[in-house]
Amino acid sequence: MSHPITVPPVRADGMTAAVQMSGVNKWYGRFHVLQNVDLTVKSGERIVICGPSGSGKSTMIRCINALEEHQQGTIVVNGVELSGATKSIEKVRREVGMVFQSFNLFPHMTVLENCMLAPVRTRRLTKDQARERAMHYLERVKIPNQAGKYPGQLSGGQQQRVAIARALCMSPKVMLFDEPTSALDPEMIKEVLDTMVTLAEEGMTMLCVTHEMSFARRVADRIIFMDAGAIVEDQPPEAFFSNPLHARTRDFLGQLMH
Amino acid sequence: MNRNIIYRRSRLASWVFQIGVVAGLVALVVWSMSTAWQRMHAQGIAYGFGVLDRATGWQISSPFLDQSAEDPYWWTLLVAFVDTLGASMMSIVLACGLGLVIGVGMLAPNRVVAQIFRAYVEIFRNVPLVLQALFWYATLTTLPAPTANPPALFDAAFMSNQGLFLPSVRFGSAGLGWAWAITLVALGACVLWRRAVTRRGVATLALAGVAIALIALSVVLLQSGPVVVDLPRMAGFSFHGGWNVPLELIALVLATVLFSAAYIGEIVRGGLLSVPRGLIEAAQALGLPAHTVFSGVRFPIALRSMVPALGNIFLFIVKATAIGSAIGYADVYSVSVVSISQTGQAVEFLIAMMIVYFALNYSLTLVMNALNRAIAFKGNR
Amino acid sequence: MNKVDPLPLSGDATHRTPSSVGEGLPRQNRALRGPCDWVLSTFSTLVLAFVLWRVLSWAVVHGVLGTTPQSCTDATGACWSVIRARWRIILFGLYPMEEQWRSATASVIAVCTLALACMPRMWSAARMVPVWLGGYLLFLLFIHGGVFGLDVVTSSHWGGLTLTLFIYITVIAFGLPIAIGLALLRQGRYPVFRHLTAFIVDVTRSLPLLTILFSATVIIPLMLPHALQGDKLVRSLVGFTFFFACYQSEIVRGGLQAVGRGQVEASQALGMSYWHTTSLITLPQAFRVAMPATINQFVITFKETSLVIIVGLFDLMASAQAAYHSGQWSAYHTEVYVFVALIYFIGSFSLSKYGKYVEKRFQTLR
Repeated sequence: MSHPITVPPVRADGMTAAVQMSGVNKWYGRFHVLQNVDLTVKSGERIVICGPSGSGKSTMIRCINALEEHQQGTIVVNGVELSGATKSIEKVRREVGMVFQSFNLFPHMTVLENCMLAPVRTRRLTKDQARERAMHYLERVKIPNQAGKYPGQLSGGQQQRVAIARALCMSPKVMLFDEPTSALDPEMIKEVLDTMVTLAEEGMTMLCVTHEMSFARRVADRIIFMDAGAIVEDQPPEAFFSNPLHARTRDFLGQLMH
Repeated sequence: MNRNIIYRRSRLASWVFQIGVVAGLVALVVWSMSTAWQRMHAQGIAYGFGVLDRATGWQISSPFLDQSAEDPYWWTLLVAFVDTLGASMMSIVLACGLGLVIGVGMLAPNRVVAQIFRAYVEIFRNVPLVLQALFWYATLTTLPAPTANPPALFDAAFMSNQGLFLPSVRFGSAGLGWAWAITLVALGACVLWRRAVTRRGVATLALAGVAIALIALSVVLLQSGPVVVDLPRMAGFSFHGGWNVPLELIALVLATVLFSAAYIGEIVRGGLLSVPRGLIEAAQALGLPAHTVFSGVRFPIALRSMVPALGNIFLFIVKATAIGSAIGYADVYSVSVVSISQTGQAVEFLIAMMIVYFALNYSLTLVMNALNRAIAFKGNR
Repeated sequence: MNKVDPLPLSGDATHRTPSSVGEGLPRQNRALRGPCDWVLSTFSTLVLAFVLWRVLSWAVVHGVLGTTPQSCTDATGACWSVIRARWRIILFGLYPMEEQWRSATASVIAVCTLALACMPRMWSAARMVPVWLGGYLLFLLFIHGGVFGLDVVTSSHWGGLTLTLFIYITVIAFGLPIAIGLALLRQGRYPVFRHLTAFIVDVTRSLPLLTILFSATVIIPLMLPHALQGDKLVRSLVGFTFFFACYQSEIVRGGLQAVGRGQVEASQALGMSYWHTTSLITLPQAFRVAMPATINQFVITFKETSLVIIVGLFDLMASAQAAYHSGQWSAYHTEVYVFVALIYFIGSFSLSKYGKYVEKRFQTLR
């Protein structure tokens, strides 16, 4: 080991805005999928987003790293505005990590190569530096011994943890989770959630779309409820669960926890 | 297979039926063969594969090997086989290159560009290959003769109605065939070297053997004279020296490449479209630039699904070289046909021709299967 | 050589994962639709326009439509006179001049039969068989004659487009039943027949069509008694039909494999015999699955009919060659080939477009 791993400490100073969405509107043809979304996420905050399917939650966080284009409004991520210019998009994507519902690991590369690909190609690390960093994060997600395996040889829970490590290897300032446990068998959900909890406790700015309310209770600074493309409720967990302000939130919570 | 448990046929009756039918077929075949035998006797046609040792008495012109009228039929067939192989390999390589461009072009975000490539595919796919080959041959014969100032490149390559003249390398007094052999052996060595990097043992031994063979070959050839670069030069009515790629081969390869590239383009396009969107988004979410997303993620994954279909196209290309007979290229089919008309021994040459095509088909299938296995996604899920 | 994929090769994506296919490259950034894209569009449109202008100026503006070779000697563009003077040979071959209306009628009948066979409402055994039978007999009636006061014109005089169409519908009409038979044998319960059929089909598919055609024309005279031999056309047709049947049988086999075992078991549980099960349950469903690949094979076969020129039959390709090889027309091969290419293109393109329509229709039905 010749170089120490320089991972910038995630500062939970709560002052700078990591993500700022103002007046964001999006249409799919005639369908108004995001309606006047205003959202500010401070650095170090952990946000959980929930709501019925089709409410636009995934679309909203996918707008943050420009996997979806918004037609109206502004989105500023870490001080960079998403204007549609390729340069700004690539800049934002390097600082924002995303974990998908279907893992999306590259099947033609080993676990290690999956994690090394982006640091080598975009951050211009050498192969050795990238390998060290990848092994570091694979240890963090507790599967260093699978480094040489291919995604097809791993279980769902292991694949999702690799996906988290892969995103972390880019040292992002914000992590987006799009229903990370929805495609997992029940016995594997815990291992992924535990990883996410550890990440949250270390102060990573997170936006997480999920149905796992236990996770929300444990870790979230705020819980956002979305319905029909608009943010309906935005409160800290205790207030959210015990005293929801809107009827739709109450209905949704009623359905979730009988 | 439908295992009909409800049917209770006695197995004996079933087997008797099958054997009976096969016996009947065999009897039919034997009877028709005896008819053929009698006819051939009556016409005084010889039989047996001894004909392969006989001198042909006629000549074919091959761009790869030399053949003259005194050569036996087996050599002539071998030359024809090399012709077929050479034309197939050239067509496959060039068609893959062009097909890749077309496939990616059809997916261009710019509508005009995408439609232009689409138009190419529709035009060249829907016109029969024979027609394209005949057209190109007829068009190429209108090129100027070597004496009439044909188009040239750096005064070293010439395109005329006698074919394409390219510079070549001579190893002393040895013919062109040796240069080809060494090139192929060198290529084989490269392939083995890449495998040796991952696996020691067998590959290293093979590599050592190949290296020794190459060195021995070069020493032998260098003894017969120096290595010279042979440029085509005007002498009399045509060029002499260098390597002449005959018009027939050019027309055949050109037609086959343009035709197959349309199909390969469709395959490439289909493969690229079949890559799950999520994988591309994951690559983009990592901040990878667009060209890396394509070369590092999209294309390698697409390749896995393209290989089986590509294998079918390659097999088609190998069989399509038979069209060379329409324009006078000496491939296995045309040489067999001429041999039959010269000797009257249809059965022997037909069998030889079928064996050649079957062997080509089988080896190509083996290669594609091995390729498929080698690049498959590893995992037991 | 086990599972056969019934999905076609000609259409769009060869392998589609149902729910996660990306359409084209991921959505374009707004900036790219700006200057870069406009420049590219303009440039390629200009290139396209230039090419089209050159083609049109050759074909139309400077094209000549006279009747003699002399009309073309001063022309800078296309010499369509060769088509005007030689179209009869191209379309009808050496058919006697006064009777060429019969050849034309026969061609129209062939096209109509094909068009009828393509209509979904005709897709049942009860309708297909009379359509094909009737169409075929009518075709033979017109082109061969001998009844109703029509003079006999032997097959050696048939040629051009009519001969190509004749070869095509014969190969399909006779090849399809044989293909079904081969597929059923290969999937059947008798191991000897299964292996024998597998061997024959696989060997045939690994050979070029030309080899089979040539073998048929050369071997049959040797092996069969004089009465059964037939002329070169018949022998080539036997080879071609067998070749087509082998390819088509693999497609049908793919369709058969796609029909679930449960179907067969259910019908057997109802007490239906093998033939009833096959004809009423298995085959109709198999064809539904295999229809797109079958149409694709029809397109390929239409283009393959052009190969018979190499075995010496006077089809559309050969008549095209004959059209310009005579004397003063020899410089104008491009015009003739373009004309013939257009004919093939129209036939092949419409068939493949139809195939795509069938494929879409079946995707929505499932």
